[in-house]
Amino acid sequence: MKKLKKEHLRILFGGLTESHRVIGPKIEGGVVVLAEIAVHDIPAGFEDRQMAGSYRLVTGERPEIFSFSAGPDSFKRFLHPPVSEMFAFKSSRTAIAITAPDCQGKPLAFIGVRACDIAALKLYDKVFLGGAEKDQCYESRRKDSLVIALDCSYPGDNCFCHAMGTGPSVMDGFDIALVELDASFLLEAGTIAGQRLLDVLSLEEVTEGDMKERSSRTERCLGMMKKSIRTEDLPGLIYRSLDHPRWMDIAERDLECGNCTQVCPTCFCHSHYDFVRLAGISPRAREVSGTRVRKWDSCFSRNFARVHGGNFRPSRRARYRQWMSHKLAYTFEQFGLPGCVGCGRCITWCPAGIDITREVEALRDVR
Amino acid sequence: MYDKSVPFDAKVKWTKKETRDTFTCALKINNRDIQKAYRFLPGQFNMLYVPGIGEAPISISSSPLDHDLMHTVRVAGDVTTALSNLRAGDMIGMRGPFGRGWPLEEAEDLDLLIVAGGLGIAPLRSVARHVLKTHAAKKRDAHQRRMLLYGAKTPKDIVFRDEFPRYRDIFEVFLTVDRADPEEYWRGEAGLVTKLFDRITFDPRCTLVFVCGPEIMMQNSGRELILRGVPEERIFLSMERNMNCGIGMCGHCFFGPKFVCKDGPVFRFSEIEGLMGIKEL
Amino acid sequence: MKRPRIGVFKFTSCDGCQLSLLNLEDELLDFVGLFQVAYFREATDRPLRGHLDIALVEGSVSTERQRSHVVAVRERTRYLVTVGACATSGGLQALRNWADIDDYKNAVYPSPAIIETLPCSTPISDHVYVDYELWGCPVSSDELSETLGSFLLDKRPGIPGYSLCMECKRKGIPCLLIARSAPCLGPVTRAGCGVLCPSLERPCYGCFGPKEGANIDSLLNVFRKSGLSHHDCALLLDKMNTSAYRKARTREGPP
Repeated sequence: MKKLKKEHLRILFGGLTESHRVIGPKIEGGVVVLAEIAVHDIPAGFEDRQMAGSYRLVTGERPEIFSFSAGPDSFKRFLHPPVSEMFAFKSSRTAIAITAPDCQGKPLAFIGVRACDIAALKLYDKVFLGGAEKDQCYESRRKDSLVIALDCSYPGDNCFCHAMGTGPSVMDGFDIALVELDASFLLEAGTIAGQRLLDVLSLEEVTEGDMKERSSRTERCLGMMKKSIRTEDLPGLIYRSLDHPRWMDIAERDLECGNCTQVCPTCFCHSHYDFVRLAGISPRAREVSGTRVRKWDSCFSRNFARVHGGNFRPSRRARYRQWMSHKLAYTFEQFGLPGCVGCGRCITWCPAGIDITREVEALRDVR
Repeated sequence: MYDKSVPFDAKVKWTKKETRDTFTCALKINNRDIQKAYRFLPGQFNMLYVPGIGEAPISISSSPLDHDLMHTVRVAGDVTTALSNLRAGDMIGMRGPFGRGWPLEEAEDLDLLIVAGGLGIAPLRSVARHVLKTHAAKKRDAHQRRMLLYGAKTPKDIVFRDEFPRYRDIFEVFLTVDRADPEEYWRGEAGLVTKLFDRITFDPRCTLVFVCGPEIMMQNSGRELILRGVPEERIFLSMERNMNCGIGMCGHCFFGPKFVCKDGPVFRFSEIEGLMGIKEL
Repeated sequence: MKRPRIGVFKFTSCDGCQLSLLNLEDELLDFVGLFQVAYFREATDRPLRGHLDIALVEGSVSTERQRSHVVAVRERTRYLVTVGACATSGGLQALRNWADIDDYKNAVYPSPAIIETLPCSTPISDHVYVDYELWGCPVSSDELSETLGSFLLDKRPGIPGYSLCMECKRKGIPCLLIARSAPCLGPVTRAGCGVLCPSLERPCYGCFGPKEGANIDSLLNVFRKSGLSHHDCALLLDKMNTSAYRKARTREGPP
């Protein structure tokens, strides 16, 4: 582990922008979003006030550069884009031509990835790369990407990563890990690619005082975390509660707008469509050309589990249950990982303010 | 190997109308390399793709030993309607094979009971044809019994009706219909397929069961067979769900924690019995 | 193969949805190449003759004459598609359904006696069978093009019934409801507009009508907590899809 003076962060940035699209935090419409940024875009000193169904950004007193917590976006917007072309097709009655898209762009470098999102990224890697079939576009984006992780100095008001065992400190899964101190960043390389980036920086040795500061910061962050989930036997709780009356209660409030699934860094569900413009249709020649498109979808969409002849989850109650059960129970069986990483996004960005931590507590109540 | 997320082209060799709303089409994979690499097991499915319309998951209804790769389809939505309009020589897209098939290796030393409802016969026809073909190659084991129970709505809805005489060579075949029009010639049973369990005598301790049909029919069959003493690990069901990707990424086919597309569609009853009782999972 | 014959009809409406068809711009030539425009007052003075393969119907039914006209259109048409809020849910003019029509007549017209109108403005589906409904005020040109293309390909149009929020989040637009407490109808409104308003930092006012299974009461509870009165909340919904939102509130079945 080494130390970098804060003002030298831009040098790290400079090195990155030559070879990568640097994706990091930036303010847009009063919200910290992720976008391609320059070092001065980082909303240093801003603080977010989050509640269930509420988010406000304020200029605060905090001295840190990364003084804010996670906004609605995560890496998933870039590694698994909301809308992407799977292939282009041109078909006639007797021939089909399929052209795969080129998903190789400039490699991505994610800066300031929190521990919770690293846990989510691990799940994403299992989904898209861990099976017998791999998602080739995800693979090409992912393998060239750099993850520059960051320990949280402050938790968001809806965070509960400590309960899920995913944060607030970054443990693994990074190319470079940053820890922000008063005057400097601690840096640790996790991969050779990360080490190469560090090699060109003028780094200082880490002192005992720095390490002390680091652990007291982690302690402070943990101490400030307001939310929690009792995780003992969480999957068991969910499996036992599939008929719990609480689901009905949630369904009364649930807007089934899908916001929670769109901001959740582990939600990966999507749908495929054929997109054909009028110019692509030639009935006389029986030809059609267009693109097959993949879009983020959500288990809250009414038709998500529909087949011809019926819908497997016709009620809102069942759709909400599906989402929460997937987050808190199913992923353990599917991927051996938690589907909820404790980032609190679903709580903040739910217009109805449904709080997953409270709903779990309610499920724990004996009927 | 080839990329199973991108369709390859397959030519329609022939189509055959089975019942008023089902048909079988035989496909030939166009690309020689893929054709060579393509291997499937009875019970697996393909995604059939009509460009401009979309994809549908369709069970393979032929045996791997058959010369033709067949799919039997019920006309239900846009894709299946488009498929029903195909003629020999037409080209469509195809991806697959996907999923876990029937555990035929477990059938080696056991009696086999096939229970099908409606179009659920399609992936089981693959088994029946397979057994028929391998049986011809092997010396007949006189002690091994094979039974096929099939229920359809009406006599007119019996798919592969012309093939049952052949299956009777090595299967004990029993057919039933929910209701038979008195005008129609029907000498089989009337009633649910589970009723046919009374018509056969079998040793539950050494019988392997494959069931495919509507979910409620599979659930009832499973429970009934357990009551009759069949161990729940020897009962297999083939589930149906919405499918988009076929490779465990899109999330449409979740049945509780199971991906029906890759963990299934064939499941051991013991794996999913607990989930089957839960509404709207 | 003969080009399908298409007719475009207008009842009580502003013509804006028909203009969305003309707004197809770069697809307009494809459109006239693929379809035979048999009747379209905005574009041609050709009189209506013969049968139609597809009818795009704009506007609500608000006079007795329109009632018989829409039946006549249906009779000669294979596929009838309503385009826009008026035809699909009754439109802005359906506000009168909850008031006294004579009060309106007397307030607006100098000689109210010559005004022939029905007491209610109703969607086309109240009168004839509708094969497909396109929402929006006006309809989206993209959805119109998708619908026309789907007709040629013989499939259901790929038009989502989920919330505007889904589309908004995909576009990465900062949430006005969460970050500014703006009374945005996105969570209960159908996607399809391309997130026109929120991307200009204006809350959604529901011109695409209620999404499938909209939980409107829950959203209004949220608005009330942020200080809106019952009256304010009612006004939010009482716009071009007033009938549909009101129906969705009462129809909303078991959750």
